[in-house]
Amino acid sequence: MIAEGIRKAFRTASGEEAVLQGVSFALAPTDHVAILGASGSGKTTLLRILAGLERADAGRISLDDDDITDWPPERRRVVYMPQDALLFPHLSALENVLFPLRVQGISDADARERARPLMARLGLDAHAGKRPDALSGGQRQRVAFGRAILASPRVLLLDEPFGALDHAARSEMQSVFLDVVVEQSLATLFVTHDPGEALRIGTRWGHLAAGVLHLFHDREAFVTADRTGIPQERSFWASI
Amino acid sequence: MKRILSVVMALFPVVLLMGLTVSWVDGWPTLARWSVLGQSGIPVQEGLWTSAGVALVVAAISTILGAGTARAMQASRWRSVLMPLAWLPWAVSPVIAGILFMVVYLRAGIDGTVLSVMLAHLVFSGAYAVVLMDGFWRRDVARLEETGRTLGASGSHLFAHVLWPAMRRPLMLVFAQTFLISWFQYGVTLLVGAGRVQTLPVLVFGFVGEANVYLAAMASLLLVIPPMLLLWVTRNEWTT
Amino acid sequence: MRRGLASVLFPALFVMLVVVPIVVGVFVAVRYAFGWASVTEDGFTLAIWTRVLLQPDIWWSLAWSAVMSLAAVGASTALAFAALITKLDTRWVALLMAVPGTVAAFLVFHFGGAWLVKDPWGAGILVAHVLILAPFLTVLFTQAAQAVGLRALQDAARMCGATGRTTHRLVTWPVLWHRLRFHLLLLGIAFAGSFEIPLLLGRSWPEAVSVLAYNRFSRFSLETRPEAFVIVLVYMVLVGLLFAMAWRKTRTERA
Repeated sequence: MIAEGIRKAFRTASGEEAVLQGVSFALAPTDHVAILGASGSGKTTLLRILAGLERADAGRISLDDDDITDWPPERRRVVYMPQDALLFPHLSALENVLFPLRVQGISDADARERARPLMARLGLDAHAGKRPDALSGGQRQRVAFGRAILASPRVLLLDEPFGALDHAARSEMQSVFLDVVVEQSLATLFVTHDPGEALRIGTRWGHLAAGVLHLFHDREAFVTADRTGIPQERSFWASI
Repeated sequence: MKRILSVVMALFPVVLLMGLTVSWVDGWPTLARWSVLGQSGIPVQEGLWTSAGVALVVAAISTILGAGTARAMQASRWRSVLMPLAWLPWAVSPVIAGILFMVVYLRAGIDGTVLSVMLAHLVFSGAYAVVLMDGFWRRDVARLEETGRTLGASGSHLFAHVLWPAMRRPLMLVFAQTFLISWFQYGVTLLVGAGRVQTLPVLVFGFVGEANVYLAAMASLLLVIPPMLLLWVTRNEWTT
Repeated sequence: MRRGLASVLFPALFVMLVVVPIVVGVFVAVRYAFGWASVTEDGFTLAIWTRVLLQPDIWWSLAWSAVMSLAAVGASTALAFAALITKLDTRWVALLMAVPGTVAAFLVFHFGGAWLVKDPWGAGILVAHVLILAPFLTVLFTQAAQAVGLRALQDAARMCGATGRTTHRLVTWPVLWHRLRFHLLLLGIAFAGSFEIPLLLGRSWPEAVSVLAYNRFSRFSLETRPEAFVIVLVYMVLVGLLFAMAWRKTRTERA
């Protein structure tokens, strides 16, 4: 995926507020780009534009040589996972996971057969028949993740999907995520406000602030850049 | 285009009814027929005041009853009994209920009075108010009350500074809706009013039976326009 | 007022004003229906019941009322769903909730002509019912869509590859149905008991059940009044059973 010059502004009571100011990057097929950014930095807007859920004011997005700037979401095969799992309340965990297969017209029996191994992989076997309101936060995120995988995305966009989980669940989810995306050879763009998570998940790193994306050429550059807040945090822990 | 279609749909009953009350003088439409409202012996005016008076009293009592009962039910062990009872009048046809009440009121000697009509309306409005307020209380107000109490507020202070501000909007909505339930009641009013309590819905039917289209249309407009204004004023509560 | 007193007083008032009238009314109806209070019968008897239940009138009325109600709720649901997905301006549509059954019946009566007044298919009844129910359901659907975050769920479906139509089929409608089925059933029950619209627009046979009960009650005949109570009790038992079934099945949605 290549994004070039993405710009977006929102109209507010006091005029126009620029949320994204010429964001550009290139994502290779097996890249896992972790973007660090505080609240209000434009992370969610960027991901929603890449997924086709919002339109940019300017810029171009291409994927595998296709210009997908004006493509609707259902055509892009770019799946966006927000922090809220957004499971369909009327479907069970298993039905949520195999939803993309139903959309593709695959028969119920075949879809269940394809979904079962992934359900086992994600530790959801025992919860297959439960409705979303009977699942814990971590379980809901796994269901959302399983659903995203079965949609056969070319790119997976994750918007702080583990942000609402406790430390243990978060750690477990990060491991599961890493295993599955490597296995599926998926390109991912992952936004977080947690530097530790960014370092654990990412193979490349960026920092988004005030609508401007800064990409680091390597891990060392990322952890030593003042703008990320990582050096300050390291100093804090070192002083204890 | 959608806005125009919505407006046309909303106003066409009023336009049709207005058309029925219009008289033509020298090719021009006039509202001359409306002058009958000022004449004595025409029951439309009395019907308007009767409907308004009954609906206002019923709405006021229902709102207080709904608020108090909903709050009392929150921690009550009788909740599982009271809540189904609150829903039950919804399922009983007003005319069916009117038949049941009529015999009781006959024996009590209050049949054919405004009191009997109010008591009958209260069965439906009161139950509806309890259901509505229960929803509001559980969703919005209960947690605010808990927070206020943990901060040391109690009694009149809790009511004045926590409960009342939180309940104002729901109370207004409940009042408006229970007013409309009573305002529109026909079947039960016809029965327990024994033809002596002439509310606007009873008059509309009466005029239709007499083939008096003009008065039926006028009474219909008086029946429809005040609620329309009420719905418009409170539209932000109903819609996105 | 101390919470302790209010927590007893208000439920007591609720029971007194809402529950007791219905309970007392049912008690009186039972007395009439079984001959204890009837002027023409001499104590307990099942004669009134056999008289009513062996006539086809009550069964045709119940069936007719059920069909009328299903058609009204079905048609109104379809219109409300269409209004939701085409994003009609709900603020204006909501104004139609100000039109009660009485006025809807009058409008159809005056403008409907032979097609819609006392027609054999109940088309006029259907039109009048839809006129009052569709706007209410449109507002209800809009509120439900907001409450469940339907827009976000639709986005999630689109990212799984679902087109607009597929999204509405697999997500929009099932989510709304899951959330509102108890309300739709209650509305169905309420409209089966509809009175003023079938009174003005319906034929003399079959009558809607509420019209049948009213006519039996209002005739100046001591024989037909107890029959009205039998009809009322049969209706309430059927409605009560449906209500109880729906209440149990939809416990989670009402939480």
